[in-house]
Amino acid sequence: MIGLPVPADGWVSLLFGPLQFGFLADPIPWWLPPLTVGCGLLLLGPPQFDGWLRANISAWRLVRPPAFRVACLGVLFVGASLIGWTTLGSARWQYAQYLLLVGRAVEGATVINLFVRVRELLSFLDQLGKGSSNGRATGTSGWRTAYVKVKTYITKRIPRILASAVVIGLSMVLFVILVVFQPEQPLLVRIVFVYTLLTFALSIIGTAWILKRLSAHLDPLSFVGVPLCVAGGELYNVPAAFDLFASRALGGPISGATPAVFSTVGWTVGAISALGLLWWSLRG
Amino acid sequence: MDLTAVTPTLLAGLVFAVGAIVGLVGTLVLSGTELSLPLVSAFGLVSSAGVVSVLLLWPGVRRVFVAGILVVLVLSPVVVFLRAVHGFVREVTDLYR
Repeated sequence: MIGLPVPADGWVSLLFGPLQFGFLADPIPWWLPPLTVGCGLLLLGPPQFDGWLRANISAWRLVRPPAFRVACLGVLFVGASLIGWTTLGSARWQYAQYLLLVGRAVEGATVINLFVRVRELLSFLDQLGKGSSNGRATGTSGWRTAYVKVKTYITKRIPRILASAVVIGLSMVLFVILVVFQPEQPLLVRIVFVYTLLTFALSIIGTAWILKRLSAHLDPLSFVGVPLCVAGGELYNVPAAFDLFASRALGGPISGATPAVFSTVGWTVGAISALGLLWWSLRG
Repeated sequence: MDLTAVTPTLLAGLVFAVGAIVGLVGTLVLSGTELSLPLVSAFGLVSSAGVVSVLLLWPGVRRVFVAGILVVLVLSPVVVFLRAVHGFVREVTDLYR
């Protein structure tokens, strides 16, 4: 039996090679992550600032319509973002990961929706217990109520499943088109291009779906801005400097896993903060 | 025109100046007589000229200005998080009371 020469840094390096792995971490098109983050920030910032000015400066309230005030602040934010983004320099990826962290924290806060569900479940079980007596009066049984509940539960999830399926289907069609009509492009470029767009679309859909529980507490622009910031943070390239650090410290190219770490930490922080605030509110 | 001479700072200065002029004209048109024309004009012109001067001429003040922008960029997402979580928690608290 002939043994294959395994490199010192393991099979990952043998299969992909460090340079190719680094290449895989780069999104295509390269401008999509900064553009997504920029759009997300533009949607998040002006409404918050407008609210603060409206509450504190009476003259600002005279400027109407409100959409015009937000548009004016949007122009100022474009200028400010240009300066801020330039100043961030090599720390841009860290800022992108910070946005991902905060975005996931907002998602994590929706964990207290569990208490709403528990309330609904107790109410439902109560209804089910009284089902026979109520059923005789209203013509509906407890099992009928249960059927309606389950049906509603499934029906509510159909749009997300459908949207995800459409995105995955379109990505596959796009990949086939690229393979057939763009044979001059390297295969890896085509894969990364499709993967970047797929991640972007699925991230937007997933985050917006979770945030709809908070839609009553987010202004419409923030409701769009948070998913964009999260998607941008997920897409944003982790620079080679961090990759080198990670490789030396942990013995492998793990930069691709960094967004996952930030996601988990952010979600946990958001969930713990929300649960703590809920406990404090109920106790007070 | 040498496009390499257009730095982000210069671009930001142009955006600020154009934004100030558009905002000024738009405010006057949309708000009608409710705002004092001389006051708003003076405020708009002085602020746009001041901002562009600070951006382009005074590095020391520019650093403070940039620090302020960075603070806003960092705090905006946190404010969104706090507002959303506070509202959601209050909703659930009301449910259990």
